[in-house]
Amino acid sequence: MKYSTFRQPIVMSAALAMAITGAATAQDAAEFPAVDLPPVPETAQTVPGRIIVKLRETGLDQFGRLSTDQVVPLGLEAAPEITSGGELIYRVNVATLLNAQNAQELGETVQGIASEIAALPDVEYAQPDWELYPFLTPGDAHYPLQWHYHDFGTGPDQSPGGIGLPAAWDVTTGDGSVTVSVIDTGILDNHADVVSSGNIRSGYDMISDPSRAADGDGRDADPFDAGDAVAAGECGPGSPARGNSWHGSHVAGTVGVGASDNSDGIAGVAWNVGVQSIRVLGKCGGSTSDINDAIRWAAGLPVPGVPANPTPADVINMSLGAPVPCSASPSTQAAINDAVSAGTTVVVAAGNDTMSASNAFPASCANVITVAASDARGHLARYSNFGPAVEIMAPGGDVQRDDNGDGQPDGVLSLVSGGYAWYNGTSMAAPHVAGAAALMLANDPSLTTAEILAELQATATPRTTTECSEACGAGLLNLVLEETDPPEPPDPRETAYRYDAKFICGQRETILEGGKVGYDTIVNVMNPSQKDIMIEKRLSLAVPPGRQRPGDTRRIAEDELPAGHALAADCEDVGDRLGNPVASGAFVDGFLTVLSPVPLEVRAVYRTDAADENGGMISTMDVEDVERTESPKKER
Amino acid sequence: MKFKRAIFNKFGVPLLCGALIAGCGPGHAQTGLSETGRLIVGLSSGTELASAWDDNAAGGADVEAESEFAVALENLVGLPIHDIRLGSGRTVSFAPDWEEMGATVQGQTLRLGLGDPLLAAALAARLDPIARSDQGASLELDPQRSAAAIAGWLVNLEGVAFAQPDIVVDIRQ
Repeated sequence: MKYSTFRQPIVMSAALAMAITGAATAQDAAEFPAVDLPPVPETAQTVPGRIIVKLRETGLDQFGRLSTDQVVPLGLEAAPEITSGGELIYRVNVATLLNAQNAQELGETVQGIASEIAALPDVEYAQPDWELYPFLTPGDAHYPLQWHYHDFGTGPDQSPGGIGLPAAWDVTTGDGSVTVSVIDTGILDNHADVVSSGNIRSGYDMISDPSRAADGDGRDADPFDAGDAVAAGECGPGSPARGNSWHGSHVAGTVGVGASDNSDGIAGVAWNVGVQSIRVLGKCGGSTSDINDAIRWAAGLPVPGVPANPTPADVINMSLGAPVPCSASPSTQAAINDAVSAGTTVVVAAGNDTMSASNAFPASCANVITVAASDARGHLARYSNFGPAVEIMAPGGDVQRDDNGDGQPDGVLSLVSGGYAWYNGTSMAAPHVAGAAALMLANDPSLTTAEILAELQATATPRTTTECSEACGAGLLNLVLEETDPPEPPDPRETAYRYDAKFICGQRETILEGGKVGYDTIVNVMNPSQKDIMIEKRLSLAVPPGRQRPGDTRRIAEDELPAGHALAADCEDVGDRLGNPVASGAFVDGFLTVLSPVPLEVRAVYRTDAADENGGMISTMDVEDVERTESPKKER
Repeated sequence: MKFKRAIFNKFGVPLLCGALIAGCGPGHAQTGLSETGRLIVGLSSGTELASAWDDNAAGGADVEAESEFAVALENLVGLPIHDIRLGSGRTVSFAPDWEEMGATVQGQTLRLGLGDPLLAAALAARLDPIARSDQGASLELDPQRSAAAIAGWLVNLEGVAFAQPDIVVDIRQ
């Protein structure tokens, strides 16, 4: 057993690391050669229908913009906005907007148009108006030093040893209903970062031997870490003296027992998670019999003489072991099997003996996720065990190195008594995976242990033989979470009542030369019932596109409509929901459909404005009741 | 709980003066070795002892019943037992009564003063001693090898699903 500990209290100023992203995709153009642009990440979004264009001086028409002949055939409105930098913002017209099936497709369409514009000789550049947003990073003061959480890479705010948490945190920061049991030396539940967190759950002190527990008794309900310091020779002839490790708190801090994103201290892998400490290690380590009981208790299984676990674990972390194969401890394999059968995922450290993990236990046990350690370069750490028993590698750090050049040791930063410290070891690597599993379960509670492992391995960053000179599993942990579809909200419309109102907005040329007529529609909707409802609005478009080709139907919004209240859907409202194409002069002609779970009063108000032959204005107004169509089926 | 009685193993050999595994107290515990000379035994389901474990683990048994369980285990494994603890999953951990078995520790070696050359020979056949006295009445044992040996012996007993030393585990920092 090797110990390599580096502890140094730190005081750092807070710094918020943020990154922005923007990228584009290429799309073939029919009339102009497309300019190759970077592909669109699935997460990249555009401001709907907006393209930023910068013209060369030679391309300006008398109005300082591209000509109508250049932009309208591409699906743009003729009149752009002008930005502070002399750029023009063109909007795609409503027909183009409505032909896109979803936001991703719309983004690709807009990118395609931007590529075509960029290819015009008078255009210096053209691009979609990307929506930029910060990757979610915690505001904890010391987060910038937690290189092990950063996105994988060599750019700003990235680390070649990072595991991609900022992108994962954009999807979820966890769920307090997911419990991770840390079977270790106990917990410093009086640590400032823990006190200010709501993440700690009731644990247990499972150490039977009072002399090992050093807290005056054997098993009890208090997993507080009473310390594991020993004098020289206390753990056998020649054994060295060592101070208190606070090992369990350091491990639990990485999982997320402390408060994250609170401008103080450090962040955990999971910001919202239940962390349960089960104390099994004290002076001179711990006994297998206590650890076996801790495994079963964590999983919610009975242990003689111990009260039932009120919050059974979804994930167990064990950063502990002995340099003997699992076959030497069939009782531990049995306990692990029982825990996994109960639905608990078991994560264990590979060990720090620079040997095959097949010769360490519980690392070599079946049905566990065995984690090797990597350094800040993303290489297998010099001390880490390795080999076929390893499933994946995660940051364990190396306090003897400073590869990221931040002037600090490249250890894993987490909680110890009175502050924070860098430790290195597979003990530090395992809780990265346990925390990642907690985030995965928060994002998708249906995941099984096998699915968690498969997903972790599938998304891991592969390593070369230079980066891992010995087998390190599927590679470096790289947590990739995909947005899961939110549960379908209950449909308020047990029976849908449907109203189809004629809807016409914008300007259109009249048959008289040079004349134009402006159209405006307001649909008033009143809920005469005694209950609050949700109504859905859809727009079925007739013009554009015209030419006897049916237009698409698009869901515009779902609005609350309290009992006895009314609301209006007008050209501005509909335009806003569609990226404001109507307000910029587009002509819309179609039907506005309102769906409701109760009968409504619906009236449409139509107004036209036209210039008379003397230059005056002729206005008309008409009000129509909109008839109801009662549908026997739900309208979705 | 402490049991003082004449115990005979399955070979009919009295073990009053015999010690089989090593390591005495936390001061001699080393990672990967047997801790405090304890053993873990897993009980086979469907056996009488397993049923007794179920009754005790459920918390319905009284002290007398627990004692009966301990005596039954003592007779099963053929060792005087000083301390016993019911573990989870039908396991039991226990420490033999070293004092009763007359064991002494010399450095990292356990010395058994058996007195009876025949008994020493019988144990030596199972426990892989480091050395034997010239008279053949005492054995010196390596703790780790002896722990594995006694576990290998116990696992062959009826009603025992597995047996192993209670291995010391430590942090993997």
